[in-house]
Amino acid sequence: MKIGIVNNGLGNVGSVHSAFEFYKYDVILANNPKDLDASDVIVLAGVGNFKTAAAKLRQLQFWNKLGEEVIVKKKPLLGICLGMQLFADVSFEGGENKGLGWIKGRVVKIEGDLVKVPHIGWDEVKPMDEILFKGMRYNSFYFMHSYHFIPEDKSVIKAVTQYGDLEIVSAVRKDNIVGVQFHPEKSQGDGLRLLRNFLEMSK
Amino acid sequence: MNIKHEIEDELERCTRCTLPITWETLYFDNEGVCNICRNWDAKQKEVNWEDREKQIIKIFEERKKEKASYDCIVPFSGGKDSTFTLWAIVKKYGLKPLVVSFDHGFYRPRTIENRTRTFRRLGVDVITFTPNWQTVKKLMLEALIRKGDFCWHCHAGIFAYPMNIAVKFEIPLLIWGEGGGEYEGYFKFADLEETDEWKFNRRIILGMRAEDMAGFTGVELRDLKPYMYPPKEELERVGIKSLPLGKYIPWDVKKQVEIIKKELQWKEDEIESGFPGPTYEKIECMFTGVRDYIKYLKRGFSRITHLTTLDIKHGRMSRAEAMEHIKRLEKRKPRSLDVFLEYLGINEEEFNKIVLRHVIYPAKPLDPKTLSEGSKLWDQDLWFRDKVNEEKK
Amino acid sequence: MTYKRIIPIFLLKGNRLVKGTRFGDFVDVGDPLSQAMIYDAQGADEIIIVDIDASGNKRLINTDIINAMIHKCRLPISAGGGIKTIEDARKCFGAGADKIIINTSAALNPSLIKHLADEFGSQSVVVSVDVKKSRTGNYDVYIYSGRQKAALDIMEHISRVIDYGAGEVIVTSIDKEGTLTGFDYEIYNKLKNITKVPLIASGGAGKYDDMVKLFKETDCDACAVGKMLFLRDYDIVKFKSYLKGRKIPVRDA
Repeated sequence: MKIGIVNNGLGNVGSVHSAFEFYKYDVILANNPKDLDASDVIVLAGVGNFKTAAAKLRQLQFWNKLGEEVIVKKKPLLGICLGMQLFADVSFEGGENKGLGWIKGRVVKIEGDLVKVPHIGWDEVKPMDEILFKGMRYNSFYFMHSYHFIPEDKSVIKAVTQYGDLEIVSAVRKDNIVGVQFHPEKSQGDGLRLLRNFLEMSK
Repeated sequence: MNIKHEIEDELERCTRCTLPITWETLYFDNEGVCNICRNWDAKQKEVNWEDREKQIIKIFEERKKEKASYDCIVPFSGGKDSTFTLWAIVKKYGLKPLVVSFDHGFYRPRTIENRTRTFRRLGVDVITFTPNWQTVKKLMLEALIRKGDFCWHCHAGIFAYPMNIAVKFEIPLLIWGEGGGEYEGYFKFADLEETDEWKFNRRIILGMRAEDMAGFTGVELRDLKPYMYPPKEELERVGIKSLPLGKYIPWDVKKQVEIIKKELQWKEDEIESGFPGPTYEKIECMFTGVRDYIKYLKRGFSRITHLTTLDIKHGRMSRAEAMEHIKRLEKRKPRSLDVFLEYLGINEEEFNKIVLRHVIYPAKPLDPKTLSEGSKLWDQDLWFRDKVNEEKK
Repeated sequence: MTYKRIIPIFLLKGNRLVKGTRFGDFVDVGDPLSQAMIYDAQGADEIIIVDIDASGNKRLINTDIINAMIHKCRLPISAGGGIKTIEDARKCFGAGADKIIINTSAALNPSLIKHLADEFGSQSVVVSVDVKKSRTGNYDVYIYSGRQKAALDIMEHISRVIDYGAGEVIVTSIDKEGTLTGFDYEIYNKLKNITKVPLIASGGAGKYDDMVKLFKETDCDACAVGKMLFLRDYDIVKFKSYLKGRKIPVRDA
């Protein structure tokens, strides 16, 4: 199984790459859209600004290519952090910006009286998906984000995290598309197990 | 002085087993019971030992089928745990091991006797590695200064050296003794953790790997190879499994000691910091007494606490009885300290200064001069003393 | 609930890590990659690595060291030292840093924070502030690893860096640093109302109860630990066990 990591020049894909390598998987950094042809599984990772990321994906011709590979060809895709937020119809980070529209919903700023923004650190994740979270030891993962994804169809929600008075959607899954708000590549043992689970369910 | 002012009474202790708060990784729940006791409870209830033993027997049987020169490596010191493990591997499970022994430099006469008898009776091949003494001395002093713990060379070497041999001889199975969890909270019993580099980095080497030590001591990194865990790539190439037997069978030390005494005439010995008379605990090192003494200075408790803790857990002693022993026996300076200081080339004042820098709050620094000396071990006069040191005096 | 974080703080000098007292008297405390692997295994929540000579020598932290750490460790790494431009930051992110830390540049050129936040997102931009209590009891801000006093009011400075988009603030007490005598709780309490972003305390951790006090009495989200880890017999597992027993929410690992 070949894993293609979208290299959009924004996110920190080096860590994702090395995390998959830990398990001896065949991983490539896809610098241009064509590289995704040979991938069986795609990873879209990223931190940073939604608007900038969306613009970069368009500029590098990844935008339509991703639709083709994931929606038409049904290749499994894992979106990490901003990668998951890009599934939405729209995000309000840096103005109003269109997302990939794969999962209906919007991305809004984290707001609450009891919370600091950005949401940074390790937090408990309440899993609602037995396969993705199989064999977890502690279910705590590393978060770093200021915006969060609110899907319309609640049935896609596969994990939530309580942050102050706010309930954040920390994992989604719809057909072949999986997204996590946290960073499994930075989350030690449980993070590695989650990446492995994703690949297991993509077989 | 009223006994209430003594250090051991001031420490918060587990309401069940007496372990004090200065014990590594200890914390108490709302009932004042420590996590190690809770972990012990879990071990009694949750683990299906029959199932576990089946798992390891399956691994053994598959390995035997390969008819390799050696079925496995057993890392060995000659203490109770590794002797039992070796006995079980040979006699109970019928494997052909290569025994690998990292000589820490402090075997006592009875340990050497026990080792020789065990090897001969069981009929095993043995590799004993003796590391460069000049390097060992530097490593001991450095670790003592930085961490108040001189045992770095021993822990790192005992753990890493057999792994290096496994890679070199391509023997893909190592069987260790006890699994973590019985004495400390680094690992939970419910986990089936392999003995890997993660554990080595987490627990064994006091926050200092060979790369760090090389810079501290000026010893070349190539001279520290015996203390370095082999790279992941090499372990994967050989397909090494490194497993603690104590995670697959219930580890009852007392029963196991009875077995090795009966089957191998393994002999107990006295130690300086324990109950008077022969014991099976940590008799394989000359400086168990010094190690325990340092622990007392740093943490306000020592081996008597450790021993009575296990007795309470196994229902062999009451808590009140344990506290009685702790008060009576724990506060003592070992006679072997002189030899230790001679080996390290420092004086007692320097030693005290180093150790007292490492007192773990809420234990309080105490004046080592106020402690009375214990009695000399029967074999101390037989320990090797280099004439060079004598002449310097 | 977000767990309180325990963060080993690495001071890089050349190719080795050092630790001192009040920003001086440095001793070698190890190899950066080796130490990172150790604290990753012990379950540290993050690692901060700062090249303490970079700003003064007008160069950037060695990004190869960051890259080596990323490949051997599975925890977030914040890196700093000599970051003056977007390009410097990009090099650090490119090497695999999860967050970048600016200190001197944030004081000299606060608009850099805004540019960094726009480009990489606030969550990846950490501003570090070194403070020292003056004889009058006020806190002064220092730059160039404590070598130069900046003409800045601390409250104004920290409010400004947050407004410009700093996603996290780490405040180090120069008076306490390396002394093992406890944190400067006063400064963290003063900052309580203005830090709408996570706040990291640094300088002074010397015993378990210092961390307990910090997390019980201030609004800090994380603490950086140096000497206590490097030159005393403690480790992350021991920290977390103790804090757990004292009902501080820390992550099991």
